[in-house]
Amino acid sequence: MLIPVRCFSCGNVIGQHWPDYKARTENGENAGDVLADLGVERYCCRRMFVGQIELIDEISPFTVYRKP
Amino acid sequence: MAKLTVLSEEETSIEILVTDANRAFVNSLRRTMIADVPKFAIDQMRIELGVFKDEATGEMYESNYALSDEQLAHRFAMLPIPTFHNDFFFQDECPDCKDMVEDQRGCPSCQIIYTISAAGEEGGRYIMASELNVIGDRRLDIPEAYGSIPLTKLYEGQVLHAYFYAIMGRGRDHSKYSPVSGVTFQARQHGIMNVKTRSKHLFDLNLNITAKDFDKDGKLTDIDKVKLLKNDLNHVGDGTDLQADFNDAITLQDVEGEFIFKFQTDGSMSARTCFVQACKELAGRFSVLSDDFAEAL
Repeated sequence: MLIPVRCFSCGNVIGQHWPDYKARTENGENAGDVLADLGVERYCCRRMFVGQIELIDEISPFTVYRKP
Repeated sequence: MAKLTVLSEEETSIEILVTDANRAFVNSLRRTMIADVPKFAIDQMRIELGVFKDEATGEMYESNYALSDEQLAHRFAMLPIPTFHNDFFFQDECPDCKDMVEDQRGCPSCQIIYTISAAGEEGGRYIMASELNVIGDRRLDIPEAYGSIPLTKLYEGQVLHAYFYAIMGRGRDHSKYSPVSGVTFQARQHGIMNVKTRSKHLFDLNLNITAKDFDKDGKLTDIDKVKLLKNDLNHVGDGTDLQADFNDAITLQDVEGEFIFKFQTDGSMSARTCFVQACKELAGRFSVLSDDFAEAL
C-alpha cells in the first residue's frame, strides 16, 4: 500500500527515503545506485524499496468522501 | 576491564573496537541495546471521527481514508520520537503518576502528545511525518531527517484529525521501543601472509591491498585495510580460478579478546547516547545482582 516506515527485518527507519527514491527511479536512474546514494546499505532494507508496489492510489477512489 | 575505541562515529551510527573482552560480554551489550534501552514511541492514538466543515471555505471533509485505523496507528508508532533520558520517566516510575491507576497516568514528565490535522486534495496528497505537531517542547518534534516519511495519502474530501500519546518503553515489550538496528559485532581479524610466493597471485590482480601493506612479519593489522583484504580475498577464494594456485597463501586470523561492534540508531537518540545508556542499564542490572549475592553469601 505505502512504503513501510521501517525495514521488516532489521528495524531501520527507511520510509523517509521513499519520495527521493521514487522520483529518481521514475527519472530513469538505476535503483541500486539510488539506494547506495541514499545510504540504504543492507539488503534487507534495499528489498523493501525494490519490492514495493504503491497501491494506495488504487484503493483511495473507493474511500473518497461522497457529497450528501 | 574492557576498553573501547571509537573507530568511526556519525550522529546515528557508530563503530567501536572493544578490547580485553569476551564474546559473551559484547553480546550482552548488543542484546541490552536491542531490548533494554528506554525509548519513546507512540502508544495510543485518538482519531476524531465524523464529518467536518472548514469554516473558511465552507468545504466538507470526512474522516475516511484508504488505510485502516490499525494500519495508521502502526505507522505512527514506528516513527522515531526524540528521547531525552534525563528529562523523562517511565509512567510507572514517574513521580507524579506512579501512584495513579494506569488509565489516568500521563503528565509532561512521562508522556508526549502529538497532534495532526491534515486534509486531502484532488489527486491525493501524502501526509508526512513532519506534519505532526508536538504539544510542548519543540525539541520533541520528529527529527527533520525523518520528516519525509509518508504516513498516509488523503484525497479530496478526506481529513485526518488525531492525537497521539507517546510513552517510554523497552524493546523487549515491542520493537517500536527498540532504538537500534543492525547491531552486530565480529572478531577483529589480522591478515596473515603464510606463503609469500603464492600471495603474488592476489597482488598481481591489482586490487586494494599490496605486499607493502604487510609488515615484515607478514601481518596486516590495520582495521580498514583488513576490511579491504577481506573483499580482495573473494577474488582468489573458493570457486575462483585462482583458488588452487593461491591455496590460502593469505588468511585471516581472529584476534583474541578484540571485537568490532557497530550499530545504527533509529534517530530517536544519538548512537553515543544509546551506547552509554546500554552500559548504564547493564551496570545497573549487575549491581543489583552483586547486591543480591552479597546479601546471600
